[in-house]
Amino acid sequence: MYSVVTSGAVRGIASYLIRVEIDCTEGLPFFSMVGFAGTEVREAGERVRVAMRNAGYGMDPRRITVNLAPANIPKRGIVIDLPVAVGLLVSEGAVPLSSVGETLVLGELGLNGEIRPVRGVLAIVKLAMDSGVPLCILPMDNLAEAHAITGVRCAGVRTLRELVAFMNLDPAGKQRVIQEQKQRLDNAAASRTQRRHRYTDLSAVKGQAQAKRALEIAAAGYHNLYMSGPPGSGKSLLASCLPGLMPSMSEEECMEVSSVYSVAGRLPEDGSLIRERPFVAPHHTVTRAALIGGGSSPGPGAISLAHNGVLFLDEMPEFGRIRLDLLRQPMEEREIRITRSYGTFRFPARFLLAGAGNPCICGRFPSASCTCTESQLRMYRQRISGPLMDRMDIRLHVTEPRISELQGETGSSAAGGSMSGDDIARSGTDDTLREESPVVRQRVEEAAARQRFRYADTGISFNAELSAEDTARYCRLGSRENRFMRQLLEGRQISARAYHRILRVARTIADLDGAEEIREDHLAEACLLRGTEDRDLHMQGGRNY
Amino acid sequence: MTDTKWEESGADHADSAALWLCRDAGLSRRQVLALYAGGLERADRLFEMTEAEIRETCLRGSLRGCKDEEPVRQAERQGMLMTQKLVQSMSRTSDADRRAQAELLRKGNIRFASWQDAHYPDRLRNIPDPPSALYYRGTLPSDDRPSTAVIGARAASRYGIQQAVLFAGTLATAGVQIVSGMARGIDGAAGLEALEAGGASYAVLGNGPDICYPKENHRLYEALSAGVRGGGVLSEYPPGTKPIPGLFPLRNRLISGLSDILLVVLAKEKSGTMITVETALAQDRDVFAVPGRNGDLLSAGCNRLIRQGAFIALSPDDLLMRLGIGVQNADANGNDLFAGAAQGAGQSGAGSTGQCGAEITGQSGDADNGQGSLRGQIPVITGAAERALWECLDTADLQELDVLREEMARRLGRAVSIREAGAVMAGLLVRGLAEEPCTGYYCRAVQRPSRRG
Repeated sequence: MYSVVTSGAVRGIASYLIRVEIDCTEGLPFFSMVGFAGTEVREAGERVRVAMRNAGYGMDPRRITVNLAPANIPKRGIVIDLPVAVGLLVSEGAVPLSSVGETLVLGELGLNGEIRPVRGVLAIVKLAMDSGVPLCILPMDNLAEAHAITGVRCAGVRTLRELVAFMNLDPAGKQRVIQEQKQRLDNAAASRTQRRHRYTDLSAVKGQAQAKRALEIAAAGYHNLYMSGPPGSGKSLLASCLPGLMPSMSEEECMEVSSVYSVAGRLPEDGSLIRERPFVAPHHTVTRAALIGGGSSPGPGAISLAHNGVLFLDEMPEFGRIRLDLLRQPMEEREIRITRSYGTFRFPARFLLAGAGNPCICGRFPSASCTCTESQLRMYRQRISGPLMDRMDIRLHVTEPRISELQGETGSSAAGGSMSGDDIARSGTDDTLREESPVVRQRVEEAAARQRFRYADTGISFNAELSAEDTARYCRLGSRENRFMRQLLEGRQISARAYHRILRVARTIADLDGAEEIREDHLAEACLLRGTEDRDLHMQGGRNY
Repeated sequence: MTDTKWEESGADHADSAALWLCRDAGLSRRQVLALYAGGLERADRLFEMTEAEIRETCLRGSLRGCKDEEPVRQAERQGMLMTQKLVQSMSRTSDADRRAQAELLRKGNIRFASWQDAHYPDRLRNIPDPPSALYYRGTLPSDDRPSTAVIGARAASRYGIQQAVLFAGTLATAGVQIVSGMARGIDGAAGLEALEAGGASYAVLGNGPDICYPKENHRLYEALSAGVRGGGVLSEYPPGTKPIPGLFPLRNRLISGLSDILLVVLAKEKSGTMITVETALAQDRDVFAVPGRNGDLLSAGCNRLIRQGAFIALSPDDLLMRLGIGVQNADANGNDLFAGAAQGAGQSGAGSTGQCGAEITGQSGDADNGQGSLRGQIPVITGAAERALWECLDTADLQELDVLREEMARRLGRAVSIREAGAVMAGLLVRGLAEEPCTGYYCRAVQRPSRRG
């Protein structure tokens, strides 16, 4: 007897449908699975048989052949227990053939007949919807995830018996079950508060006016950012403020991020979509596969888990030049391609790279107390390759806050009357220093909205993503601004790429200012935030003696 | 210009016999010199001499300067050994071989000057331990023009770089040849500035002239190899000799040997730079030292030299006067010539103290214009904010933006936000008035004589 069950699987984060064909005939008992399936996939046969027996659906020995179509796609590391079980149940007569058509079945079986969750459900159900499959039967633990896709009906089952019961219902009965399950989930979700990333509020960081400004600009335009400074200067603390400043994601961006997390099996338990930009901070001992993705059945790495979010590399020089250079290509192409002998997997990887590190081994350069020799300085600097450093739009030096800043306000306007010269000097940045994250985030959101409007229908979301020619188009300058940039090109001898990067940051600064045109002071700030281009300090005597 | 000088000396390719003698014959440098001292006029004459004549020449050379018995006996032994060696080597070489070697040298764009050549620098003939030959690219320092060696620490501070640039540039403009070791730091900065100021710049290497070491100075190396503006790259080691530490101290004697004055810009108490000072003293050259702050490790050597009697180098004029180059105070039109140098060094008057980083004063009463447009190429400082920030900046010390912001605010008597300070700083950076040697730290740009009018 022949039956076909529709199922699906993911490769990378791309999903594809599988037609599971099951044929049972008389003959010597034999179970074979064909269709370019790997050994681990063919293990399904054992699990299904035992699970069915333990659930009470023992089968007479038959000759069973299972085919996974299409045969030209290699099926590795996928789970097709439940579809096979359904096919066998049909041949046993436990499940009517009619209820199998137009239904997608997903799930893993335990030996006792219980149905376990699988990964990548989000992408598969979305494909089902796009392909016009009206009904999906999934493990109960994956149901919340699946409900994020509207336009397709999903039913959750916990055991084989439940499955059989469900599939024997008439359409109205099925609909009722589906509604009930959905209702229950909605109630549960409503009572749960949205879990947020833990982040540090900007106002908790003392001083560091320039760094805070840099964070705001980086978040608004999605610019890569590198902070160098002595140990204890607060770089990690500043970076931990980023999640509280990043703008919200669009629906599409949420879906992308959730797909990746679904494939990685890391969606939150309530199955809700991920609505906040990810903030991934791997330790510098992370393996290559954990960083960019890979492994035997390739899964997403940190860079993909940081898709549409922030990848923060603390102690960046400690990662090692080889692993850091692995980031360059994904940064360029916004995705990572992992090749195996049986095919290529693609994961998205569009992230804001935030880095922090010491300027040298002792950490004190360029202060006079730095004890490093010239060659030590050079070796340490080479840990982050030139091309990688070049991609950091914002590079700044963070120093320890001064005592006056740590100890809180200096005699500000509350004192009334005349202020001493010192107070006047120090109070220059009082107002911006004490802003809280939500206030800054509001500005970031507004700037992000302007960018969205400007780049509607172009596939770009943020200023940092502009290509060189787009930059010329969207960042036009007036004559005075042009002169500034020309002086910059000639005077500081920056490369064309650096030139464009400065322009893009200036565009973000202008957006934050609410200005349509880029002004000279926007360019000036962008230029300053870029830092020095020439990393060779010898000829210039870079140390402070 | 380089080619004509080269041809004038009549050596369009290395004298193949001299090349063989100095490099391939297996004789030490001293032995080769002894041969010449013993009366050998040209290397190729050796092949016309009998063995007896050769022995005689060797003995004569070895015995020169020996008075007592023991050295005489030793010298005689030396002479015999030399003869044996020579005769052996001569039998193994042919005219064709020697010509081929000379041709190889020419193909590799390496020039050759041996003791017997006219274009071998006379300055080197008089030092205690001269080289038997020089391999070079470009040209050799001329004996007819004054020359100054500018040397200093490799890990140089901004103060040192500023001083090196000032001295080298001004001297080069005045026609003085600048000699250095092309090392990192002071040497390289001086050599480069001399070149850019339009003067003759020479680099003496501790390796073969075909190898550029250190790599950072490749721009200087390329220009000098091409003989730009009459400069050159030279070495007493044949092409192919790799840079190894042992060769550098010996090279230093050539740096001082080729100069009339040795200028030490920065030196630690015990350093390679001080070795060059030793050789300069042995060669009876004048030593000038640039003073520095008490307590600065890099100036400790210089300060000690001054105490021990070296000349103090307060401005390039000091050296020019010592070299006997007319120090004019005004050009044909009566414009104060050294106003530029003085201004750039931050002096309030021409000619006396040359310290940088001092307050700017307008020379012709341009009080509101600050730096003013001196030579047309220096950009103008506009506005009170810019002037305040400029005044806070120092040539040598690096400062962070926030510190500068506070200082600015103090001078202006009002609050200055970090954004405003940043904007003003960016303006200075872009116009080349300020520099950011490393991210987040700012200082005044090094004043370069080469960039002035």
